[in-house]
Amino acid sequence: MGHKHTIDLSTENRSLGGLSGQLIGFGAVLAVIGLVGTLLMGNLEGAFDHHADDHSAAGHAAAGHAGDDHAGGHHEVHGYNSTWTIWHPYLVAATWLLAICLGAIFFVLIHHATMAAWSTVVRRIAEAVSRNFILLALLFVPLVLPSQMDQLYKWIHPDPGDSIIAVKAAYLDYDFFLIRMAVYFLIWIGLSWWYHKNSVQQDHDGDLKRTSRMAHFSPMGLILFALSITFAAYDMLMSLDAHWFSTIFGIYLFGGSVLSFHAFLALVVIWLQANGRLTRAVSDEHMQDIGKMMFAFTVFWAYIAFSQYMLYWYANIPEETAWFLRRQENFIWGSWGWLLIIGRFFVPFLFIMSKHIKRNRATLALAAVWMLIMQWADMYYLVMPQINGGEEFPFTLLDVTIPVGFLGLFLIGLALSLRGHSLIAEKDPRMPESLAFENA
Amino acid sequence: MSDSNHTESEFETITAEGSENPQPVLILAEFETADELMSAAEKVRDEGFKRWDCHTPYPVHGLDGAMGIRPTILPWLVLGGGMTGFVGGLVMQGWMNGVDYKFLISGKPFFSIPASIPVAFELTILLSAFGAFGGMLALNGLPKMFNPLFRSDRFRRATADRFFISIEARDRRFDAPANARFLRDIGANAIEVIEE
Repeated sequence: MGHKHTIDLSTENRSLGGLSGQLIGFGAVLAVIGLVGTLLMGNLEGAFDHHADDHSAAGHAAAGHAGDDHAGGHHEVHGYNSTWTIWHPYLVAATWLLAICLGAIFFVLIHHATMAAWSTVVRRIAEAVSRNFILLALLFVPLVLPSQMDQLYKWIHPDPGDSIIAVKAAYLDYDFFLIRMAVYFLIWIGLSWWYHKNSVQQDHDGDLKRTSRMAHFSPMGLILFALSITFAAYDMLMSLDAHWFSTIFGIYLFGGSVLSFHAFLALVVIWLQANGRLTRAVSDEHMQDIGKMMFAFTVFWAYIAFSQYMLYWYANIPEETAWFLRRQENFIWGSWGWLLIIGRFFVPFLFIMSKHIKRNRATLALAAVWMLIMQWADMYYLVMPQINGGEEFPFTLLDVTIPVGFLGLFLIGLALSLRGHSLIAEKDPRMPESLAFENA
Repeated sequence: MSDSNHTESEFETITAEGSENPQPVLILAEFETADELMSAAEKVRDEGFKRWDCHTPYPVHGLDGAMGIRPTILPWLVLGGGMTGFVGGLVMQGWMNGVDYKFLISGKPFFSIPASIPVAFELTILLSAFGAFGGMLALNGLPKMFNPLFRSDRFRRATADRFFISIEARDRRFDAPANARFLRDIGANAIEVIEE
């Protein structure tokens, strides 16, 4: 209250120090739990028993069945299914963490494009999180191998006479798919590497030209980001059901990504502050702004999700509604949809509306953890109903162990990116303004 | 339009022209800097004044706390507006499409939630905005065409480079000479009493 003086950064504990070992240790424990759990549960579930050979056949058989079960008529739009493999939960977990990284690079780019000041104190953390694209690229390598692609993306070997796929054959081509995936990760890794590098080097040389260079390139970076996240969403998630299409799908993933990143950022900051880092540099005011972004993107996600739904509901064209039909006409996925509507929109919307909730570390952390779980639930909803026409609930403990293991790796990656330099962009020209930031 | 005379060199008195029986309506104190205003505001607050205000050329961060302003109820008005819009939008469409004037459009149900969301959403936004805008005006007592403060020429600098505290005569601690001494003690460099 009253007089507020600029915080003297030199008295602030702003290096990860011994916490990096703690974070790596925690990440390693999670990774080991995830790996051991996955091996154990995978054996129980028989995930490692079968091989790619019998898979496409089984998938197509199931596809035929699912089509027949639905009361006639729409055989051709219902037949797009796969059978459960361990790569389904793997894809869910990988896209879950990819969303956090995508949100992080967007945060960095939009920060520079708008020359934002409030966020300068937490920008370094975003830069470090976005460096995990390297980890994500490694995690995606096994997914795009032919045997896995075969089990997930049935467009690789479409049914003969599938005219819908035939039209898209030029795009849905395995080699072209690999090139696109490589381009996405090159863009993301390149952007995160370049922004992180410039920001860290400014800590040493204090060169203001770096700030203007980073700002200068950010609109181009945002265009690259927008194109890459859109097409990545099409390729990684939408093409699971290659009959279906939704032009807003990339924005859907984007909404969840930015939401998830801000939730993750809040948790990282709260964890750092609980360990005596950045205790004064990041104030309640900054936490409130991070909370505002979580609130805003909760609404944004719901807006986009509903926009996608309503247009298809209203037009009611079979080839467009097939995707939703699979997610609505049985109890399991119908309930999961309600889980997202209530749990991903109404609950966090009402919970995080008040500024007191956003400024309180405990309640903000609670909201952030919930939102990250909901991001996983959302990715689950995009991937899993593709299995056997959505007629079985494919949940296994692998859906827990794989995300936990990946999260462990993600935290190790974060620790490696955060250590060795300051937790804050030391000589950013907007740092004093950011430190003095207050919500009007 | 107003005439002024010096009283004990403690404060100036500005009296409205043509006023039959002039009574003080407020006391105005001028400060040089935002920091001086801030510490003065804390003392005015601690002294127990209730009907008083600060006037600054730009938003001064932390002044709300220094003045001891309680949290506004405006968010609740906005929430009320939004909820009214959402529920009202659904009920309105339910009544119109589902009950009062049923009209079959492309085989859709007469009333359904997905079709009603856009209108309910827009009404949520609209009434929230009305709640925020109207509530802000009402809580601030606006619009107000005239304020006795405008009688002071000195006060014009509140939009440029001076900081002011005004205490209304309706405050039960109001007592022009005593208040003037108090304000002088806490750093005011000029004091005026405005009469009407």
